[in-house]
Amino acid sequence: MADNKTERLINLTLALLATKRYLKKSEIFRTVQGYDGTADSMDRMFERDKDDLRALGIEIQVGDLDPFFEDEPGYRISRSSYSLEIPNLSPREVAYLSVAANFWKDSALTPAAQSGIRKLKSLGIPAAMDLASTIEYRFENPKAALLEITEAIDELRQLEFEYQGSEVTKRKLAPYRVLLWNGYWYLVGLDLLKNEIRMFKLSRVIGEIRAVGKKNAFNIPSDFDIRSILPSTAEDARNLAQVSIKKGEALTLRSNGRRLSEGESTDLYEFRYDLPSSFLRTLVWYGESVEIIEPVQLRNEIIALVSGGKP
Amino acid sequence: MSEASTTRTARALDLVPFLLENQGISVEELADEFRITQMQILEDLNLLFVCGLPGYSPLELIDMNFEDGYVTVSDPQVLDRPRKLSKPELTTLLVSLEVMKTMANPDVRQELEGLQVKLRAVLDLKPTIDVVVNEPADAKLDEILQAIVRGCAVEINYLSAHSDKESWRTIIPNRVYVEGKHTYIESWCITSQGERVFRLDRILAIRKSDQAFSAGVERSDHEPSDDYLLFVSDNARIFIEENSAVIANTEKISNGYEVLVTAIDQDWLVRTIAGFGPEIAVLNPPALKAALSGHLAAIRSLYQ
Repeated sequence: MADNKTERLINLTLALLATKRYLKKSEIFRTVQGYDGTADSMDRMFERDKDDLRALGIEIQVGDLDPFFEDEPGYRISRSSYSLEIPNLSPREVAYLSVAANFWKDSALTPAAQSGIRKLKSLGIPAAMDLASTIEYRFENPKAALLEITEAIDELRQLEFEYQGSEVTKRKLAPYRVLLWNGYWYLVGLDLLKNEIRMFKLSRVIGEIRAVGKKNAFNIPSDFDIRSILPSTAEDARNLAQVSIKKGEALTLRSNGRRLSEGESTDLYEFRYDLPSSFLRTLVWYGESVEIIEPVQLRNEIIALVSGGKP
Repeated sequence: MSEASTTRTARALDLVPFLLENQGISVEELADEFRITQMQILEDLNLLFVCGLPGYSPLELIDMNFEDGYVTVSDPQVLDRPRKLSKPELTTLLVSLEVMKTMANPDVRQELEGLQVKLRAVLDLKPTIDVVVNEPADAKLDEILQAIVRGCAVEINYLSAHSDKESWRTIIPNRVYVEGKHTYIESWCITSQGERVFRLDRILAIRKSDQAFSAGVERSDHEPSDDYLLFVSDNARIFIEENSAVIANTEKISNGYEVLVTAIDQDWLVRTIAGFGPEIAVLNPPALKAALSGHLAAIRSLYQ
């Protein structure tokens, strides 16, 4: 029965927490409520119970009782490894954590955020109420597997999944980081088939992400910096374009470029860009306010685009 | 469906220290806090009631009272402290703080960093989640947030995305949210007498307003807007990902999607889809199709 088992797990936790010395298995079987049956079945029960408590993050210490007279190990849970101790947590910090825990609305991260903040609130520190007005964050809803991915990163286990690029492909990855980039979730790691650092949009992963193989299967370079693999920002984009902009128009676009010269009815601006397709979309947004002067290839591409061709 | 005994054990162990700090909480509130039913909470309490230390005499059992619908704990036995944070809990709280840091002013940022250091000392955990925004905190944001707290108006010099013109407006900011790359401010715009959303990076300047306003400003409902039906090819999927806020429905069809866009200015939609060329086609209404052709033709004429 599930309830008997829960009751036994709670009683075992309490008994191991309360004891100052290590308890022998035979003592546990004799004194902790819920252990009965043959010696073998109690042994099996106890082994499973230990595994279950460890899975909950409860650390069970195993120690020798007395090396001269006993060969049986003993068990206990130390108070310091069991309980949450955060020295000098201030009411303001508790308030920040309450805000933080409420970020995730109803998503894969909600249960962990809620149970985490409950433990912190159980420390008995009141939350300050004078926090300034807060900001709402609207993220892409994180995939259910998000926390399993972080676990795989923590344990250095490889991941396998199917990914929707221009076609669906199987991927095998040594995961380095989950990335929340401008509100969208990505998975970053070493693509083991291509032997390159790659970035995957989590919403384009099809089906399950499976952790495969052993723990500690790879190393994450200690100097790994996510920013080194992100597409470059405007300042260090590689491509240059000259665009003429009609007087008093495309004000937003102007603020992203550098003015080269002023004319009678138009001004000439220089822009840096990375992806031609995305830069073209921006220019097309401004319609007849802007004209590409060079490069010629980009000029030809916009002409093709507005004539019904491929971007 | 009966839940796993480990899930229930974890919750029961967390209930007792929580109750110690919230003596007299109602079963209803408790169920709400732990996000389970009142029936489940009562079952948990009944279970804890019979648990305790070896011996299991009344003095060794967890002692609590919840008969009248309000819960008090008189003897928690050894469960007087909350359990250590688990890795998922710690990961989630750390990433939340990381997000808050992106928009915080330098003082708050420092406080949040100090808090992260304290949390990391709880468990040995590799960094697993990074947070990056391309439009980080901005001094103007602080002024907006202060205006929200005080409930007062500010004047902003705003570069409009629709008309691509700048103008001074007086607004009463209500709420700030971050979505995608940008930060938005939901406001009552006194100048245009309506609810408007402003993008932080388009606010060129900000100054305090001496304009008084009455708290009971009348709010008009949003104007009804048209629905637009688009075909979006697989290659233009980024359009769907970047504009989810205005997409009411997406349906997968062969080699693409049928996408229903709503609550948006037609001119903005034309400009936005024009750059995708044949990867996005207008299915309905004809007026949108005509406007799109017009926009493309105007650009074509530049290059002839």
